[in-house]
Amino acid sequence: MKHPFQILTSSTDGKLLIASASSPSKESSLLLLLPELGDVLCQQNVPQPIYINYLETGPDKVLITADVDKNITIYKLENNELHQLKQQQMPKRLSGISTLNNDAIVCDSLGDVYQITIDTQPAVKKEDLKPLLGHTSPLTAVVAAQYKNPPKSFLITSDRDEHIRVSNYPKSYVIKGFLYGHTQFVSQIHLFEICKESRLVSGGGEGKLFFWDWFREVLITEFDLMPYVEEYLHEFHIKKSSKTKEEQDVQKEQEVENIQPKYEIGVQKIDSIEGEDGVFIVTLVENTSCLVVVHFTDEAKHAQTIQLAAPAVTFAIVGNKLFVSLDAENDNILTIYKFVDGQFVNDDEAQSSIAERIILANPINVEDKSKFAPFYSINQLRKRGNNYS
Amino acid sequence: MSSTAPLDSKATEQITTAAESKHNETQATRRKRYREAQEQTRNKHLRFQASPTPEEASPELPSDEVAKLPQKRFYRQRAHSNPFSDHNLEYPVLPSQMDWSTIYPHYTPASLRKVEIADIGCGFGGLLIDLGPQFPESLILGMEIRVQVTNYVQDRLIALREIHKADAYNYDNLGVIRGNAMKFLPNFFTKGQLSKMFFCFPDPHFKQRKHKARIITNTLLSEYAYVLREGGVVYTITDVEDLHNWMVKHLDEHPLFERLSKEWEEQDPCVKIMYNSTEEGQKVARNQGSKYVACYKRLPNPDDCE
Repeated sequence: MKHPFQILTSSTDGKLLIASASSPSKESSLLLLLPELGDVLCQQNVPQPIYINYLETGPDKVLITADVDKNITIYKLENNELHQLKQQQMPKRLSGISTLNNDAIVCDSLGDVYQITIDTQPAVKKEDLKPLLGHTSPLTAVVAAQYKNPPKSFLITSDRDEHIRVSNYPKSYVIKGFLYGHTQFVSQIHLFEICKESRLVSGGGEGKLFFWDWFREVLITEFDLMPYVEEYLHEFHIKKSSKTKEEQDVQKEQEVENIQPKYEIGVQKIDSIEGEDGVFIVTLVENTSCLVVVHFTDEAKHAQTIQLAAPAVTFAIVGNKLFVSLDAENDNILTIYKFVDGQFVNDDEAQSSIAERIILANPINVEDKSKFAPFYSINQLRKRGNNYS
Repeated sequence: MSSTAPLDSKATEQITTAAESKHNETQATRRKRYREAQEQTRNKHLRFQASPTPEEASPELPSDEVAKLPQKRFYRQRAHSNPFSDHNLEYPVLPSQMDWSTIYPHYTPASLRKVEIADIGCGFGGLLIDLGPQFPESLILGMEIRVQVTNYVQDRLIALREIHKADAYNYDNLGVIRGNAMKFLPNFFTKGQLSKMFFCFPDPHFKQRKHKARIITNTLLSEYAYVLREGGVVYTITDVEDLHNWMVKHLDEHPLFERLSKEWEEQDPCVKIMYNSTEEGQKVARNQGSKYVACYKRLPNPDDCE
């Protein structure tokens, strides 16, 4: 049985789909695919399971992976093969990766951001790495943002303690400001453009999307995902109680049946696609069998809820196609939609041919569903609050 | 936040023997009762302050209660706290949502006074209480991560205000909050809001792998620079030479800070207060230890930065 893909992502030029599956036995594979036909450009087993990856195409085609063993590995794509340029051991578990100019920008669970140059320079000792910037809280993402007039770069970082910080770049020791509004962990930040203006959308433990004019540090609008995902929630999302098992049992007995359970939801992934009037934001709430599409102009409106056959592990938009990795058995692990006139529609043709080819190209097999790697860890970012001091 | 306090608490623990456990029980009960009583008083004050109506604008205790300074021994707590823990803290989503009227008795947003001086890791509040009369027009805030120590400072301020309520100066510009300054400073203060930040006798975190937990690091200094105005000053003092060297190294390396001269230190009233007034400073003096001071000025942002 094929193991689902944990990573689906688009190359920065939108021409390639990158997919990766890793079994719990640390067997791991990376696929570079052409989205139109599902042709496999390159399939390579990578030594360690990959945590996050990203592709930067310039004159050189470069692939960067951050793996669970705290390595940043930079590959060059040549003759449809990945050649390792550089591997850098990092001090802490990695939690995000981005690129800026010709450098990789990575963030970690201790709260620090590092810059790794994309070149053949030998790696430095991890103790000698100097962070660009840091939070005291674990970081969840880093993105490099460009402001156009005047042209200038910024780094935007998000953390487990509700912060989104905007720092100057390259003088990243000068903090520009903070985007205030989150009341729970921030798990995803995503940049997009609308009318040539750069905007940021963030999501986290509230199950809401926040839309920002990040340069002016203004919250434009919020969008609550709960009403749209509620019917897809289950046992996994029920609010964890700090009470002991016995106390819970007592409480259950006393509870009237029709009391609504309280849910906790977290945003697992955000991506966007430009439509004719405005931008469509696609959102995955962790461990749900749906994707929520929000139409953003200067306000945010629900556009569509895509119902899936199984919970989504991740997804990616490449060109005008939406690829969704499913936590499903019997090799039904990928489904494809096409973006037509502001709607994601089933792509039957693609489903039968492209998806099949991609699934077939995935070399990671397991005996059954119980051997799947754990997929859902976003909600572990939630603070349970220890009271000791 | 002290380097010497853990020795004290360890010594106290060692004295605890089986024979004394009965005595300790009663001591624990006494401490519990004291803490409960103080909490009631504290809550009464905080409630009054949170909703000041014209009649209640200056709350008065019932006449049978005589204001007493709190007794430190009932507030003892281990000297270290892990800044990476969650701690069930309370903090505003953004600075404008902070209700400062619960901290400062006569605070009104209309007065436009904002906190200007922060004592990070204020401990038992010695520095605050000496700084207060020196800057009567400025709001001064102590931040402390340990619950009991924060309670002590709060109770101390309540008592001082009560004792001095008829005096020209009555400590109403001082406040304390329990918080983790390493994580949540930007939740309390806007860009360039502070003119002075004090770091007095911070936890040395001796172990190499704990250095990220130190209150002065390259990355945290950027956050301090963010809340400090141009020309604002960072004050540091410690009795641990290694930590002093560490703080100097990191502040020297940071492009937004510049060390102030010995001559400047000698003429600055805050340095004198910092040197003599904190509980830790006095303890070091009693033990005839050395105190190391370093002060830094916040430089302007480079022109090509926002």
